[in-house]
Amino acid sequence: MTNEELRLYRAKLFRDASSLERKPEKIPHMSFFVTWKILDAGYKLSEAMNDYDIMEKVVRRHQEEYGFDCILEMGARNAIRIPMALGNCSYYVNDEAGTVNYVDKAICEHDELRELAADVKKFFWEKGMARKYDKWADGTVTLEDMQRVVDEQTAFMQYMGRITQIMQDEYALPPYAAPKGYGYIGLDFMFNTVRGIRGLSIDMRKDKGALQEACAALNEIYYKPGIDALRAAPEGPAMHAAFDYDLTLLCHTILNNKQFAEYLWPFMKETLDVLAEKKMTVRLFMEGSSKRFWEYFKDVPKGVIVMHPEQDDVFELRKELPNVAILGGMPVSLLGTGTKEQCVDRVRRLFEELGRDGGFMLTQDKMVSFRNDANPENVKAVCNFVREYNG
Amino acid sequence: MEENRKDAVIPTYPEGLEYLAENLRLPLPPALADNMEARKNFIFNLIGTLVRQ
Amino acid sequence: MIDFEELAQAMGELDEDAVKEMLNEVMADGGSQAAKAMEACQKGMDIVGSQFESGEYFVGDLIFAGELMTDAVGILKDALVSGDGGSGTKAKMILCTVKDDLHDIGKNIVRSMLEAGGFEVTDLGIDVPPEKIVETARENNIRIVGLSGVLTLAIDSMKNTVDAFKAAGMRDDVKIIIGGAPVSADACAHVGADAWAINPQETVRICSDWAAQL
Repeated sequence: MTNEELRLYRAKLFRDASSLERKPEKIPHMSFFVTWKILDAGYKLSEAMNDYDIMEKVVRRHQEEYGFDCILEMGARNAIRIPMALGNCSYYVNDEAGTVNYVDKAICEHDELRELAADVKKFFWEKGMARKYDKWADGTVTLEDMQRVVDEQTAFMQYMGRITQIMQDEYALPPYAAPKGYGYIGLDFMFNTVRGIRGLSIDMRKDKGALQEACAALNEIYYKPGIDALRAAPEGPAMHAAFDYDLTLLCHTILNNKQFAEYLWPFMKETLDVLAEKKMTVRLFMEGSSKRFWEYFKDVPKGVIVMHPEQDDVFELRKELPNVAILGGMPVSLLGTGTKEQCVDRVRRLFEELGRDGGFMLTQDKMVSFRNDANPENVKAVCNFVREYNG
Repeated sequence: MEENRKDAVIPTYPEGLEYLAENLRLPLPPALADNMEARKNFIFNLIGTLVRQ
Repeated sequence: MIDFEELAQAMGELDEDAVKEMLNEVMADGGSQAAKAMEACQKGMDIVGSQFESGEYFVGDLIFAGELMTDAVGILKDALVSGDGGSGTKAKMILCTVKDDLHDIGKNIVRSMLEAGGFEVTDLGIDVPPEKIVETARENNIRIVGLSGVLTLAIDSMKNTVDAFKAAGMRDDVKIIIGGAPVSADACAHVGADAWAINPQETVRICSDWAAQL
């Protein structure tokens, strides 16, 4: 096979597995290794996160060592050079411990929700930026600073373009998702950036009206253009990519069932309906547990959702939602502290019980970030087994 | 000094957006390089990225 | 004179306006009913806990309940401190997020529930090294320790903390409970903790049982 043929073949493995109607020739294996691969390559986190040439070496080595069918993260997760160009970064990199922690900082107070709703752009520009960046707050930001930020973002985009092309051309890996295949619902934005976990919990109870107005304003800028573009897109999957769309959600981890039904489900349903209409596939990653909400997905047609569970049991997921393909199943806890035999036994069980008739793709249950998250020997054992099992 | 006074407008909206749109070198395709709307959209998207980081 | 059952119910329903109105009324009356009001709030937190266990409430509601409880204490504290509503001897415990982990939401929820359950909690914050936890336990004669973490590496830090107690010759003097997203029975065995919990009510139950035995 040429590299191009291999790349399209690999994309087809994911497509066939996602369809739940076509059994793929082999069960595909995706990498969800994030900062772990930097440490595995022998670099410090700060080295790779600040040098795209090093990050390129890390990603190349990761594929050469382990041989996946798709790599989800290729250095985009922590683009710290962009905010650092303005002097501040919310990511705290500890090279000694090999950790990256995110320092939560809400950019909007509860009593500012209506101000945000009235003019999101003005609020982000004046207050949001001032709360994140000291130079913005004290008025010392210069044109030169902002030019540096633009240049860093350009360099980052060039790196992403380059690494995607390298992985496609030299390693025959399909891209994880089609271009512009990412959705961002306003409430998740509130959770992640605007109000944070504590702030949103308070807003839900204290002033629903203000929260609803703010979410509506954020959706207008961050959700609506995406869903409109999806509606206008031609029908049919982007067969060169593993998935058409990515929906990664975190805010449900604090919502009670009524709040989920009111704030989040309408947007998820709209997205899923459009994807179903277009015959597209979404990889849905709901952080933590999503089991409380599985009933909502019961009527979604086969071939639309590929669920990537973090805490939930994949065997139970298969029983409860036979219409949903599964991506995942390999516990990081086992990769880290289990034996090679335990890891291989786990994969064997996954393949035999979930992959037998299609509908299953293997990856790790959570982002693999820290050194002890995975023993490289266990990862190799799993990858070797996947290759042998697939013939 | 003169530059410092001009730069002082950056954290204000919409004056800061206008100022940056007029003065930054942006990686836009040639057809959009002089399109003020496109330039402002690019810069606001960048602000969105910075706020989300 | 307020209706304390109504206060408990309002707390349980997370009705902030009703709770604060009643508590302000207690203080306007001189604060002599502050202790009873505090008890009613604690009963309300029990209702919150039950609602959480039944699936009606979730994490966001617990966070809000913690905030409301903190506000309630803030309204009543002068009357409580002045002896018009003493709360008696409380069991002491340490609570913290372990080294290299900066998450504190879960820890803060558990702290509110533990305090509502009658514990005097020494909250050491986040990213706490094992030595600090051991030293605090030793210096203050605290015999119950709660370790929280969300990241997978928290398990290593929890194990290091248990090992630090062993090295200090204090392991048999303390009871250690671990909590957070990565904990499980296997993790508890690996860490060498005495118990594990993934919901705050269970944490309060286990710690209360330990406190009763001490």
